[in-house]
Amino acid sequence: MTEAKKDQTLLQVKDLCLYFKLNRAVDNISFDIKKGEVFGLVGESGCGKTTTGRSIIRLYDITSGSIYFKGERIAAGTLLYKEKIAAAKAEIAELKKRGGNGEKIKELISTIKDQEREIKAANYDQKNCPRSLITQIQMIFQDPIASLDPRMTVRDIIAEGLIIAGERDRKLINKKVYEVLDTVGLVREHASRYPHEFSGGQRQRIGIARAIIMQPELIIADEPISALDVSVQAQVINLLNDLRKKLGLTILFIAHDLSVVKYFSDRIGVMYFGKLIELAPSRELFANPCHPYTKSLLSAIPLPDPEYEKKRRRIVYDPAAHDYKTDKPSFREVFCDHFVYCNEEEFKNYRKQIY
Amino acid sequence: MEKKLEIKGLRISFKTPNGKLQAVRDVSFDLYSGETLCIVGESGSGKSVTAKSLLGILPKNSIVEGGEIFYDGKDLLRCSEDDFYSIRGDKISMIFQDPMSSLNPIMRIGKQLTEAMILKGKARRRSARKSCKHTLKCLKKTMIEAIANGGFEKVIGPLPVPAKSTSEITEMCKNFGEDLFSYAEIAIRYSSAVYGERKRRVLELTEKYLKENTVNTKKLAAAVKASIDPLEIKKDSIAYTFGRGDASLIKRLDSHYKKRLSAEKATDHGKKAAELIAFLQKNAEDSQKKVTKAEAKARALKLMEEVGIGDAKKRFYQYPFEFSGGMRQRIVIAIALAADPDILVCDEPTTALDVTIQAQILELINKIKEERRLSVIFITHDLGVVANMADRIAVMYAGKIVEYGTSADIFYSPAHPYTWALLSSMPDLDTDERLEAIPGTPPNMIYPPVGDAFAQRNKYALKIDYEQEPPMFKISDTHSAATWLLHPKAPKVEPPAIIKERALKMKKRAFE
Repeated sequence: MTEAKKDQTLLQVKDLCLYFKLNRAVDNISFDIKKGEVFGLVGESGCGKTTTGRSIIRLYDITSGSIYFKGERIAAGTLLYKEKIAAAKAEIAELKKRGGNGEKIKELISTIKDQEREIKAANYDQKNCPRSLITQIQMIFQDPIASLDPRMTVRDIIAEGLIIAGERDRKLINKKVYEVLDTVGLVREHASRYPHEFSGGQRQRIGIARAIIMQPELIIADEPISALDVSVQAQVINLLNDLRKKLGLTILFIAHDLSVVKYFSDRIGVMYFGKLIELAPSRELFANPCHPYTKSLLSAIPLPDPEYEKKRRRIVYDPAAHDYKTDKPSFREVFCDHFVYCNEEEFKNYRKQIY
Repeated sequence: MEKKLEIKGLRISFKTPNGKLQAVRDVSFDLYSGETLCIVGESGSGKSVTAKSLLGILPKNSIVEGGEIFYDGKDLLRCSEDDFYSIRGDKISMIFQDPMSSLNPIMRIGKQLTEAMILKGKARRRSARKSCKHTLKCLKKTMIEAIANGGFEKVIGPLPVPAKSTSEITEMCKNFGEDLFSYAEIAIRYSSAVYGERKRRVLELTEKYLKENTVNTKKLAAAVKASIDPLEIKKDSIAYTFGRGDASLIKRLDSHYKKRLSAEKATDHGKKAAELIAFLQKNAEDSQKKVTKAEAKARALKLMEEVGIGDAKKRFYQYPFEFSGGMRQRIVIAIALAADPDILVCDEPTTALDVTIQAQILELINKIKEERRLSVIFITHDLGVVANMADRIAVMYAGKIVEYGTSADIFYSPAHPYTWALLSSMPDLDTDERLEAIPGTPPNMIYPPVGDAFAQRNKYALKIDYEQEPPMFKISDTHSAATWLLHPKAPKVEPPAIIKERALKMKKRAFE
């Protein structure tokens, strides 16, 4: 990450919520991804990290909040506004019952109108988001076997995005396919083969080739190495690292293997049951973990050292340890660039720990 | 320490449309009681195949080319499927990689947990009954023979009255008095007079048929059946041999009878009968015992609690999809433990799980191993996982064990280039530099390379690595590796910097 690019925010996620009926998969999370950085998102399975990634690439219609890509809103949800309107309406009814305060009512009516305007704007943005912008976000999936169509040749798989984007020139398509194959370390001859003829690592390379042929700015890598052998994992990480430098990619790296995330990411966000509970530069997070869940996560990393492993004690996270009855938690900056989801009292404790 | 399992020179291949794939090539190791042996290697290195061969669940296109797997005095590679019923689950049990695909999605987990207990209970009862019946038959025969030999009083002494008598035994007891009279009659049949008479009749018949040359096997069989018991006919396939006009048969029959008679005289019938009765008494209980659903449920609930599934009573009636990945793996472990095995084979049990859950499952396996004094074979491709688990580690590549040693040997002073590559290809928490990926892919085992299979991907490969396969070089009593680098004439090669660095760091950490 060069200094000049450091402050350019490529992606901004603001108050993102995604509910599946009663299940709050993603619950009010906000973060920025700067241009050229690798942002790691970790957490146990079911904590909403994949859902967050999929919301960004608009595979889900988000419930509430907004996602800005290059300054433009590409997805917006309306639940928050609707809730505000409902609350205002209820207040008006209450005030009317008591029969007083015309000014307050007027104020509330104007907020309702504001919110309705917001909803309209959100719906407009949601529907009319420019296609060219969305194609600059691409995704690499976890399972390289399931995510490649077994009946399509590698050429077809890689070129599919281009064709959907309107490219019809066969020669140009072929040229581009060969280029990306070369970039990811495969050879031209592979283009006419089928996915089953490749090993796991090679398949993941095809998945990466498919993503980078659209010349994206942001890649969402959803556990790209979890399904691979250890020896092949290193190949894929090295490839992603090279591509990042060569193409200036920004990567949202979703994974549960913390050693890899630490190695690969500039900043890391830790998620727990739909909430982003800690966000810090990777060194800082590993040096000074604040939230007890982060601590428990770090204590679970196995190391290739038998002596150390014998002594390692896993810290068990107990969500009941927090007392959020009176003092509501929020996302606070404990230290420079180090955010933790905590309440006032914990905030003071965390600051004390670090200083 | 006691050897639980002994694997010697195991070779397994698969028939594929492209040719014979050599999955396991000459693998030997021992598993001692109460230890954890980890088998580490890439996919396709033959580690799962080795594990599957222990349970006799190799796919149909597999060929066992050689080797022995000794467990409890038996060679598992030569066990019949029926023999395996009493080993699989009862003695050796397995945990599979993907908890979702190893559980039945449309069956409540309670049923899946108790299924094996009830079926095993039934099978045990059936086999106990069978052996009881057989023993009764033997007992009857022994007594008859004993009576014929004049050992009547000896047999009458210990009556067959087991602790819990089965229906068969009670009936036997009831009929015992009546039978005694008929026994005397039957006993005569065994006397030499009858033997001579029989022999004469058989001879007559044979001669007659041979003369007339109108051999009808069925007729002959029926005629012979009347004179000799059917079992003998089958055994010697008289009819078949008669059909071909083999005259030596008579001689064989004659010698067979003589042998049998002399053997009978030699045996101590009283002792034999007493032994049989003791066996009956021991087995009578088993033949009556039934594992009821309630019993199985109680045991299943206890198991669920043991593997850390809370609220077991409610969970018992849920389906697999209602459980998280870690919980599902716990159920798979509970099922594996249901029949109280000696040896637990874990085939990548945590690969599909994330870090915290992985730590929990590893702790659980460790805890159960201690409590139940299990011997564990732990298969994984992630060396980082096993530091906590393993007593000994075997690193496999291309169907062979390339390095074998204690956990400390492998992590602190690895000797094989492949182990170096495995260790340095994974980042730890202090890694900043570029990762040392192993280039290329494992070789195609349909055409295994000449010499060292790892040579093509090995930057330390010597010329001899492409020509001749390295033998196992012994480094210490516990540690050995198959690489030419250990040969006294080989050039001195230092392990990669990252490994030396890590070893130093580990030593420092140990001092702290």
